[in-house]
Amino acid sequence: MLEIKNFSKFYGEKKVVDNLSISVQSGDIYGFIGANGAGKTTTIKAVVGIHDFEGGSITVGGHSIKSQPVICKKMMAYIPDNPDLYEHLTGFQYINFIADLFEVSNEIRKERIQKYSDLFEMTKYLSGLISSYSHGMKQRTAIISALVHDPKLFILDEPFVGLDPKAAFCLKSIMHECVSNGGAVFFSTHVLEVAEKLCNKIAIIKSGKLIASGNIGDVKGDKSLEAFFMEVEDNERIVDTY
Amino acid sequence: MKELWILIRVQIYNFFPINEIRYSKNSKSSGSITSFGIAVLFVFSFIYNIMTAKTLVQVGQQELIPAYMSAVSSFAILFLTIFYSNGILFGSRDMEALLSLPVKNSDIISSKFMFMYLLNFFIGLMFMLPGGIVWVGSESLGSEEIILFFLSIFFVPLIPMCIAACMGIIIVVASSFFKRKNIVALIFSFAMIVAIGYIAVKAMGNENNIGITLAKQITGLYPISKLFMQYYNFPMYIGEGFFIFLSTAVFYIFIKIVSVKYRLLNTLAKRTPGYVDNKETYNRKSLFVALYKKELGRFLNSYMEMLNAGFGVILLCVFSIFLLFNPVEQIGGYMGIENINEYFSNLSPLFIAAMLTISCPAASAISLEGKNIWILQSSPAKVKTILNSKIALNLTLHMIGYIISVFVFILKLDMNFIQILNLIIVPICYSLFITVTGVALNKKYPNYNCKSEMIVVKQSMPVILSGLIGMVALIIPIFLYLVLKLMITYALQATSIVLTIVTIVVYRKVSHSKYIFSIL
Repeated sequence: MLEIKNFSKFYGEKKVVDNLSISVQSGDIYGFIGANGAGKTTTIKAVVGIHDFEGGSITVGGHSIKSQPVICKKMMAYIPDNPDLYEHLTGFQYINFIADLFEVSNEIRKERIQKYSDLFEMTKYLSGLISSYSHGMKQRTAIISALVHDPKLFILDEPFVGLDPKAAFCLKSIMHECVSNGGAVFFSTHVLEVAEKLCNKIAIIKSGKLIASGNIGDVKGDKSLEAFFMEVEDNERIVDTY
Repeated sequence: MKELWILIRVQIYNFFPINEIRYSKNSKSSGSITSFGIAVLFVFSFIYNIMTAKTLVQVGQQELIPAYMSAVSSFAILFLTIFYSNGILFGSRDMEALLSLPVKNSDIISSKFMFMYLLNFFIGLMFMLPGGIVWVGSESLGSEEIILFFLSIFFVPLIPMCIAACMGIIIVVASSFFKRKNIVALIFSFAMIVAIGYIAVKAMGNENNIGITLAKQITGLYPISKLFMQYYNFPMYIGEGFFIFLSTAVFYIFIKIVSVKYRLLNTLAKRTPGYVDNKETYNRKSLFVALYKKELGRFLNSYMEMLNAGFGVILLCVFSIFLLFNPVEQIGGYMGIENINEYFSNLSPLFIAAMLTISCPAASAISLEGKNIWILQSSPAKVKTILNSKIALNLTLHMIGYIISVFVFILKLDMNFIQILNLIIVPICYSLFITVTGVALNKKYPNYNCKSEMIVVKQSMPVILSGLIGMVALIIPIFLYLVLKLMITYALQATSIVLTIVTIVVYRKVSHSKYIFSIL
């Protein structure tokens, strides 16, 4: 589904991600873990076609994000860590706008908007301006807009920040639903407990370098994910269980 | 006082690209180029004002220089501050953060005013300093007059700032009660500008004696400038001294009054309109239409952008309507131009082009996406389609001014076939050129992190550069006509052909990129 091969990214002369390779397959809920500034968001932004990059390749469903960005983006949905949405639009107008960009038909968009706005308890707020929304409401609006085109690959950057417990539960259910339908989820997180419970695979990045990756059980062994994370943060040994 | 200075310093660092220049290793960084653009504008203006002052000396009216410069600079400050005040004084994005800090409200307010004063001081300086230099060199003056004149440069911005801020307050308060507060604010702003212009024109009059005409025009424009005039039995330095006193007093009283209600005014400016759209339509739109509608919505919701980027088109419409209801000869009389029909018939394409050129929202359209840029960057839309939607909005705006003005000019002017052809084609070429250049420059030098929309719209590098490029494009046919003695109709046609070729090349280059902020 998603293949990141030898990905490297520079900001000026500084190499912020160095030779990173990750493979996300259908059915995976893949957690991407690292400290602040490790290179998680940079990698994610390159995957979704926001950032250009200097080294390696990124393919989605076999298509290169560099040479066929539109095909790749149609398969994906991206939700950033801080969803800045168009404040002058109403939530409903925004979701419709995203549906237009993804060329979703009238019937399907109607059904999905109603379904997910009910699920995330946003139905009565969607007619109001986004500028009047709280952070959590913006996050939920971004999630609904991401679901409106039924993506095969979910890319989420810190998705649980700002969500209330019920919305977080709904999002986790949707992640499971996505992978059970043959899709995949790739998300970054700081919350190790969530990653441990939710993911079947994880990758740990430190200072732009991949430290560990693979099936979660194989990567962390008998330890808790937190204990393992602290250990690799301190030791920097590379663990690849593939 | 220490806090005040810290607050002012932060605003200066936030407003001007000081850190960018200081820490950027790249000499072609956007900060350096912006500074260069501002410096060029400053130098142009300085030279222009020296030439204006010298013209007054040539016609024997050198004693009017101080009044003229103070009036023109005050008027310029007044206009610019109306545009600025709602972005800096009220509703600025840093206000919530500042109000949470352990500093006095009065320090925050003073810092905002002082910062605005600083900007306006430089505008005043551009007029007063060159005018003063020429004035001192052309007359035998007492030392008190000279010292007080140069001292008054520091006080010139105060009264126009207060007047403009009062207008800003009226706009903020009045528009806050409406659902579409930005559009209402825009209408209020232009109504006020038109009212000021009307009063000034009415007060100017039209006399045969050039000295009396000038004096009337100056004092009509800005009555306080009378204090800078020479009177037989009233020494000029007393007038200058009174001007300084009056400016300080007005400013002090204004600050005291506003600081009482500043928090309320700021809340009104930042108030989210209770807009609710209950229409639930699920009609699918094409990619381009969806993007274009989004662009249009953003433009109509940005008071700052509509006011600044739409300025040329609005002026063009106002002028066209004025021309429609007044005889051409009468307008020639106002402007002091004989053979006005011939003049207009040849130069109207360039006039329309100039007005369209100064209206270029495309030059800030990408930067104005700000933190929302991720939506377009991650959407399955080609860069070309995204840019086309921004170009289309710019062209829509131009089209309004273009259609009205071309219709009125054809109706009112006596033109031959070639002149009509030029009138139709030349503005289109300029419109396409400036739009594509603006969007290309913004794509190359975007600024998504700017805290103030006003800085992006007025002072970002793409806006300044496209303004300079537009000016050069407008000067070229004049140069061909005046220096190379080419007929103006041919000069306009030749320039239009060159601009069209440049437009095509730039568009092809810019629309082929895969990333929205990649290098051209």
